[in-house]
Amino acid sequence: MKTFFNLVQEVQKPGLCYRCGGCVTFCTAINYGALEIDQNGKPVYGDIEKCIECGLCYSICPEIKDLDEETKRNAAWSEPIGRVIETTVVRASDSLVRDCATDGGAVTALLLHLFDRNRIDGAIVARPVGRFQRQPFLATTREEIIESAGLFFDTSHGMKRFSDQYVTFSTIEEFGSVIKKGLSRVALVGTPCQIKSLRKMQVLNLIPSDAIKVCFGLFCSGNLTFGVKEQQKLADIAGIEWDDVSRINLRDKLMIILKTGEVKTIELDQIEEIKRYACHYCSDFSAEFADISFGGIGADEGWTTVITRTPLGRAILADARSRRSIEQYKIEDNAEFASSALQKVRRASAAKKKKARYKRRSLQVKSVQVKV
Amino acid sequence: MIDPDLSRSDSVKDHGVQMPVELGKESSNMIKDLVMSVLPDGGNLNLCFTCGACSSGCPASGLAGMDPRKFVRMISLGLDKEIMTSEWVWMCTTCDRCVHVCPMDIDIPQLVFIIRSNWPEDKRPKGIVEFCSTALKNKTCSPMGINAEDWQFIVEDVADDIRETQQGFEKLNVPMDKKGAMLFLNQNSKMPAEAPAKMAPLWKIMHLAGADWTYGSTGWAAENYCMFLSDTGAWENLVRTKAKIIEDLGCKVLLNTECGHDFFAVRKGLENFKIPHTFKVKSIIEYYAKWIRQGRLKVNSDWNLDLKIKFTVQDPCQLVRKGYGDFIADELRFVIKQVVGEENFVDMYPNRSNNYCCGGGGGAMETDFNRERLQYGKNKIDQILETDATYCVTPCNNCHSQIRELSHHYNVKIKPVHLWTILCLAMGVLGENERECLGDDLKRVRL
Repeated sequence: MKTFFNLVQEVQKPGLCYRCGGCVTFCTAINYGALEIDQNGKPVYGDIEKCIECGLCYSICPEIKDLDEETKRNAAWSEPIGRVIETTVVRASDSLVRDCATDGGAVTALLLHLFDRNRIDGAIVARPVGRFQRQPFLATTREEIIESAGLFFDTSHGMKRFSDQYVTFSTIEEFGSVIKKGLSRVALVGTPCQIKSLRKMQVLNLIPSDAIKVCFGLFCSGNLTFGVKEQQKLADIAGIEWDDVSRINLRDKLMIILKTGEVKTIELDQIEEIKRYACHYCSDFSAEFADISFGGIGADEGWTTVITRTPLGRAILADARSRRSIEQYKIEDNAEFASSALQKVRRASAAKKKKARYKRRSLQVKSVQVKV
Repeated sequence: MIDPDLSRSDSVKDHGVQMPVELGKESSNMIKDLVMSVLPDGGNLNLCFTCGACSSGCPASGLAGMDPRKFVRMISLGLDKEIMTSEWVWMCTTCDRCVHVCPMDIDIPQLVFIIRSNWPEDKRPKGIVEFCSTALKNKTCSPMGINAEDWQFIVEDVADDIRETQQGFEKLNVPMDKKGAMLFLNQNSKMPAEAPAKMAPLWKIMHLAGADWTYGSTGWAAENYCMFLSDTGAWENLVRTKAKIIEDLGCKVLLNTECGHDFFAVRKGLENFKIPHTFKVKSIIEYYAKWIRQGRLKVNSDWNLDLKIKFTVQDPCQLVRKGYGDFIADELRFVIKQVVGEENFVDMYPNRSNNYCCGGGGGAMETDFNRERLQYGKNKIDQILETDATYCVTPCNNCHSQIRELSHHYNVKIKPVHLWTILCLAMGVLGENERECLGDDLKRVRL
């Protein structure tokens, strides 16, 4: 039986922990309380005496392959980017929602739609607590969802995690309050690794994953760290003073929007260094296990590319479209709006997979050649 | 949008449904006795709860002041005279929706069949009578009266045209009477008679799939109006003619084209009349699905990625509810999703074995009850409109004709389309002259 000890050995030590928080979430939810998240966002033993060595934290780690086959089967996963039912480009019909989100505001619009139609009781999102900080948060009102929109969805290329030392993990940890608040129908907005961890929990039917009724995944090219060092580095590349930065968005490039309104762009290759270490090993760009995946890539400014992946996701999108919560990009404006968006997502996905493969190869233990 | 004169409440008034049925002195139990003597378990007539599940799901309820429950009760009560003069039996399409939902398994279409067979000969719908007798005159079984020579000429003529004008099909072969072919394909005879070029898409599919198939010079017509006429002897006669040529050629499978009723007529006929045979009867839809899975038909739905044109499907009653059930309905959906994209397929509700008949079956297209038939189909049009689809896939000729007529009559923009048309479209082999039933949105796609 492999336990958290093995997670530390096999995942954390080689630097492969995405800090999605799945292991801690489950351990906390079921009230074992053996694990916790340390101040750097890393899952650690909080009280090793409480660990009953059930091994479930190990099984549900997105980096562990044990449940991959079942997870793929449940999602009807297929090459190359998981199941795709529909690709389209949409935006929130409500201009107020669009105003607080840089891309089309599709995630916020769909969450609100589900809320207004009384399909969900809450949504696990992240709300801003500072200019580049966010905190996981269980939103249970319309207002709280809108409040979470801004910065979080601003950056809809995936890395929602602009923060100083605050890292990805804890969106999932917020599950704990799902149980405490007695909510049974919750939407999860998360990165590909978080969605995957959740799907693994669902394979085993573990609490609290049964309460998550719908998963919105975000396109993700890797999480960035925004410590003082990284801020300085970005400022140097862009040739600006960090204090002049108003907000940041990530699409095909990293966009730094200054307080003056001026936009500086940085090529993605140049920010590899500030990407979180484990993210270099991840091969999921398009949130392949979500019900619906979202991102700015492939869409015009002010629009969101959306991929529905499950019948549930398709139904949500269709319902939102027919009730005009969202509006679809017009084919008259671009005859290939959907096919080109899909192509761009495929390309970005292939690039991320290739990089991950390359990085993983370097992890393999190599034999030493001795010249005689 | 919908002609108010044809709404149901008006029809109720017109047809006098609300008039009470009077039990006259002349009640006799001739029909009841007949039914009980010929149907297994006496047709279960005495088991009727009068629950009304049959009538509530019957699109023919209310036509001619009749509905299935009333029909059963009237037979039970011995109202023979009223039953034998109600033209409702010719408006019913024998779609079996009523049996499907009947808790006591009362086979109402079978009652209709028996009453039709006892109908005075001179009062039977002339169209059906004519089609049946014409089919019997010819070894081809064609109700349109196409004989073997004409048939062979038409096929070769169209095939020549394709070979000369269409790129990639220079070697298209349309085999005729090929001994030992695996598949014997039948053909609805309206096409060669009225629009021969419409046969081309299916041939291209057979060609691209590399199928070992053949047409027959006789027994090829995929119609059996004698069954609709309840002329058992003639029905048997047609099935025997078809079975003979298939056996003579040594084919393993009678591959039923996109047609509903002959699929049922042949299967049921072989069984009822105990006709010895070694071949199996299969629907071409099953083969489309198989060929796609095997990669022999290279289809994809990329053409619809941006257009997002929506499709729904009409499950032919004879093929699904009365044939292979939900299995074939699922195969049908598999094929459609492959060619139009899963996102662009919208199901009607209810669907599959529980689907409503469009009103074009049971010989209804060949009766003079046009007004009733269009009213019958109102239900179907509403169902399709609900889906927001522009196209309705109709893998049955009667469904196709009926939905085209309904769409025109109710002035809605719904187009029926054969499965072979969109299959060819998705493979990029649909010719310009084969797009007659498509709208402007698809006139030039993958041309």
